[in-house]
Amino acid sequence: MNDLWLSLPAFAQDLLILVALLLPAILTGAVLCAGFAPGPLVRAMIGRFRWVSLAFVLLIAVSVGMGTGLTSQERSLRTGLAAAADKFDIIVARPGSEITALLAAVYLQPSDIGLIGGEAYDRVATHPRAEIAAPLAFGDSFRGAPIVGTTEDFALYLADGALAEGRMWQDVPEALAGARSGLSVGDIVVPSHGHGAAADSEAHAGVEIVVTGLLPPSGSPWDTAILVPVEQVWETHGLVNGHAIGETHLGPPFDPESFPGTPAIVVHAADLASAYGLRQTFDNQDDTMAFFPGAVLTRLYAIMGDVRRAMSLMAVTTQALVAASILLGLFILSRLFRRQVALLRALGAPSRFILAVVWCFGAALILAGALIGLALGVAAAQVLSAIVAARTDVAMAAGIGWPELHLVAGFLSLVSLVALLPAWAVLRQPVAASLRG
Amino acid sequence: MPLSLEINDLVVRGRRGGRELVHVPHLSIAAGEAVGVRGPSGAGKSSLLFALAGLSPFVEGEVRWGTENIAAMRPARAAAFRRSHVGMIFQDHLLFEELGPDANAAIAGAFAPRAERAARRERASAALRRLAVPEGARKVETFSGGERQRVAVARALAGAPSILLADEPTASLPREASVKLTQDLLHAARERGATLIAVSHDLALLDAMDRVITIEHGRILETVR
Repeated sequence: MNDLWLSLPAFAQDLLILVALLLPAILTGAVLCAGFAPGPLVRAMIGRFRWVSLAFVLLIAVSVGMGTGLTSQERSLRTGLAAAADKFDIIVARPGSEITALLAAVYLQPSDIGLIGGEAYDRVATHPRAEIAAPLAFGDSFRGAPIVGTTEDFALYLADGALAEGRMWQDVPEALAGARSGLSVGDIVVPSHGHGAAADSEAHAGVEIVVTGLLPPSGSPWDTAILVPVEQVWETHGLVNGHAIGETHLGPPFDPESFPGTPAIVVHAADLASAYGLRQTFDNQDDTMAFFPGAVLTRLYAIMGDVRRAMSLMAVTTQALVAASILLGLFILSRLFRRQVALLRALGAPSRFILAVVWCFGAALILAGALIGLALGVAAAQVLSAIVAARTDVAMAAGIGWPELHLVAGFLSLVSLVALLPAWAVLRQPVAASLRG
Repeated sequence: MPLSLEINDLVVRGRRGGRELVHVPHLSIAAGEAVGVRGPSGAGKSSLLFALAGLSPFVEGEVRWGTENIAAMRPARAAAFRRSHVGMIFQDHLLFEELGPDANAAIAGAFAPRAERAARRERASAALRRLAVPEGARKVETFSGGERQRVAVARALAGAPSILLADEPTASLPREASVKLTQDLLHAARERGATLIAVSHDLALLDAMDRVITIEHGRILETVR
């Protein structure tokens, strides 16, 4: 059985889980309504108590919206962060915090990390399994956009081999601008030292960099970055430019003796086996550590797992409280329409029909609330994603996924089963007394 | 064959089987007879009516209709009996305000077997026409009191009942509407040979009945023809 389940495609598994979660509600409705036509009566009762019904629907919608919004946003954040790290097979940095190195190299967050020396860089760059070993250089910015020094190979790799516009840099004071940097080919960039409010615009006075090309969008913080030859950053900061005196070319090979140091090297391997081999070779060394960004993200999520569990617990607690409120509300509502129910019983309606009417009334409100809540959740997640994306430059696509559908289906079934209780309670009300009002 | 109602040693008790609300040692109501029930408020008139419909949970004795004892029926059986044989009319109409007259009159079709629904709709429609109720999509919440009560009568007639039980059917109506409804009710009952039992304070309605029973303190004091 387990093998059969595992042999199914993910879509089929998710679909079956959804159906299984909905099954209690569907079966309850089918058993109660078989052979009856409660629809017009249910519509009439909803219309009769329209404002109370609307309040119910909104209560359920807000609850479901909060739950689905949180899960959708959390997933889109994880997906967005993972997608942004997609191009970064291996990061090699000085031994220290992998998370700090990850934030600096992949997400371009200003960080204070040690530098890898020329000898270590040379070992990485000359390793036969490393197709690209690009040093990164940070420290400057232009109108809030980080200026990142790197190599032509890596810039082209980021661009999937083709620039969106213009040409590759051919000289030190030339740059490629990210798709969302707001710059155009021909624009002049004057670097400020540092980032944000603390950036010093006078530190590199006289340095001007011409934008010669634009990168295609990648959905990562690199979309707002300005890429320059790594030599440009080193020279601007008064360092040696990585080449022996007399060497005039840009990019690798670099001279280990003239290498000023780099906070991180992005390594691209030809295949997975090579990537594992490279990580093993350069990890846990005296002067380097190497890691897969994806693996660090996974560990980061694991560290944050407790927070996620707490959030999930809060979401479930909220849903439980709402379910209790719905139960209480349905009991109150059942008191409101006890005369209508008593009338039906006086007309000879079977108990199952009464159950069907009261249950369908509750289930219709719950279903409407859940569907509106699902839409609210997606809208909330999209707003949150837009805010987070604006702050991190990580592209996020919040939307309805299987987890949200499963959450809503489970909620629907649970609450629709709970709705049987007030329906059953209605049957216990004395008919004669209810008819007299 | 039309059946009479035979009541023997009927005791209707209040909540949890406590206080005795009605005690009828014997009462016989012939098939097709129109019987008015009068008495002061709280005398037990409505309790008697609900007991005849099998709606009172705490009853002893017999309400015999042919071979059936309504007083001894379990709730599910009593509900089936009402579906097949009883039509009920209440003082304040008890309609579904959001529905039109047609849907209200044919409301029992919602829980009737699928094969019977069309016939119920036709009977409801015919009853509405006979009672001159404006048919159509208009909700009954816009109807006058007289129109609403006629819809309630049409609902009772849609089930083709053998027994019509009416609890203060004219109490909320103006004089003219009250007279019209009494005529309609009697005409409908006589047309199909149904037994009509109407609890009322309305002298005009009581005068139109074949017989009037007076109840006080749950006991039948007199019967007037």
